[in-house]
Amino acid sequence: MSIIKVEHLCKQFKVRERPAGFWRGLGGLFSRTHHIIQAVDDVNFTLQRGDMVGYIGANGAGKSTTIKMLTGILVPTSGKIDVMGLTPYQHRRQYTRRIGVVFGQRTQLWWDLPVMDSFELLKHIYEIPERTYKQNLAFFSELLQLDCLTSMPVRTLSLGERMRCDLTAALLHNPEILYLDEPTIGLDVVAKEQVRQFLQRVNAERQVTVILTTHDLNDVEKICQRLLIIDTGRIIYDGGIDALKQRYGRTRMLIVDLARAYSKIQIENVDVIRREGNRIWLAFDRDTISASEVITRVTAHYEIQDLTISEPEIEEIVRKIYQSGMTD
Amino acid sequence: MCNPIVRYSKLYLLLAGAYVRSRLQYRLSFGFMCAAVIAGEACLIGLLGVLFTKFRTVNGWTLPDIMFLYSLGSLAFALMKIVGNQLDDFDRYVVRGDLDAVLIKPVPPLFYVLASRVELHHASRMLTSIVIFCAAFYMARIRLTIGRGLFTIITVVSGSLIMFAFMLLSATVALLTGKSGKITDILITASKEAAAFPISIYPLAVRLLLTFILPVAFVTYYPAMHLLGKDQFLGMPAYFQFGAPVAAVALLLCCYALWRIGMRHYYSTGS
Repeated sequence: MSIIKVEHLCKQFKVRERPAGFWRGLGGLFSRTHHIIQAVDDVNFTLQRGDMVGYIGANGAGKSTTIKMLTGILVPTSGKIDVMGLTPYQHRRQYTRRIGVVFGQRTQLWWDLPVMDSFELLKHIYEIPERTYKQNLAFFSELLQLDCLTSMPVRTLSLGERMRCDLTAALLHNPEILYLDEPTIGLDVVAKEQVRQFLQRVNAERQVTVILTTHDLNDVEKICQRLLIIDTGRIIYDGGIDALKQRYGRTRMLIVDLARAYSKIQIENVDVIRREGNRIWLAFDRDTISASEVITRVTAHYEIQDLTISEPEIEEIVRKIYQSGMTD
Repeated sequence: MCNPIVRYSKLYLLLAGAYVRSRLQYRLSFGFMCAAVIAGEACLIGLLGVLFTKFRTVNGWTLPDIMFLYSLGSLAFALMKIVGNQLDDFDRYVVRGDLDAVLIKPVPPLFYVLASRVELHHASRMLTSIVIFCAAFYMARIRLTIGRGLFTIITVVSGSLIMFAFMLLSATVALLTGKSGKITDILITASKEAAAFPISIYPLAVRLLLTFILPVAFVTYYPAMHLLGKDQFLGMPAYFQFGAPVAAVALLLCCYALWRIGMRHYYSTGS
């Protein structure tokens, strides 16, 4: 059953050219000089209940704008968003009771108060029944080890601790959908992993549909079944991660440490894409030439010390898609 | 789930309480703010006193009359500051994207913004205003009756609603443009100053502006006609002395409608 249905979604921003200075600035309020930025351009997708989807794109690609429209913060310029039968910005109050939102860059907890106070306030804001509240608090406390944190003022928490509390805050009212905008930004490796595992459990055990934007493709690779890539406002990829690798990840990389310096390196069907001292990076298409063949050719002409074959990193693939756009 | 009036009153107290508790984390700063507000008020009163040792009367207004006018406006201003101060730097909400966090909560955004930053140090402003008002009330030899007491309360509430509507207007400008500092200053500071003096000192154009466009005259001047028993309507109908609540409601409705439009056009800060 589809839970989110987005059709022909567009969002334009009018950017006024506002002159500097007060009086001219005041005049700028009424002037008509502006240009239009198409932040989101004809975006379509459907999500099923229980999906866990990564939404990625470069800065300014339109990720956050899409999330803001999905969460009801922004009104679309045109197009339709149907989430659980509601239109987010129209049924905002009813809708926000059923979703959870986490902004990685901004906490929604009360900065100077103990964490527990924030939870209590949210209980009243969302009118969470006492029983549900207690159960959820116990569940998340255990899962995220919040016990020693809840009495501390939010401002004294580390970024990772704060994120754990923010996740709890967003889930206390049993939302059916969880939106996360850059949930792992700025976190260390351990904290990132903790967030990922937590999201997986919440998704699996509570059937919460999760949609997250991120710059860290490891997030996506590890926990999302599906990937949406947006670039300059358009969805340029929508599908599984394996399929993406299949389709765009035919390129393998051989990293070779040469025994000595060669002035020129040339191997048929292989591209030298980078050189750093005696280390070279060779890219080849696995459909054209096999890895063992490449190694044979390299060793036949050059003296080598060490070599490694690297799997296509999703990051590499995405970078290529950004650079070239979709070819088909 | 439960009665909305109960729910929102409770929520208001909880949110306001949370903010006050946050502020009290920095007690010294809170104390300084209170002291600063009281000192500021005291200076203004001192200034007014000095002015009136030189000029005995302004258009037939004596010192107690002016003090009365001033304190009436200052009461309205203090009340508005306690309830509506959050809108003062609303452009920051817009520019920093704090409004996004408000919009994902299942409560009306204006309610949430108003409830979430109630500055208690403005209560000290209220206190000084009450003291000055009582002194002026006594010095102007107004006989206290239940009717006059009620009239005063209604006047103060209406006056604060008028000033609050200006705040809402500047917040709406912030919603649309991301900036509001100067407009807030013009509307709030100017209206507070304008309310402190009898509008009879202004030329007709300004009087009309202060009556029909920015109805500051209804915050102090026209109601003071009634309380001080004066008859200087300057060509306006005498029933304007009772016009404050009407002006307040009309202005507030207009500004709220504009706010709603502003909300719809709110474009957020992007990424």
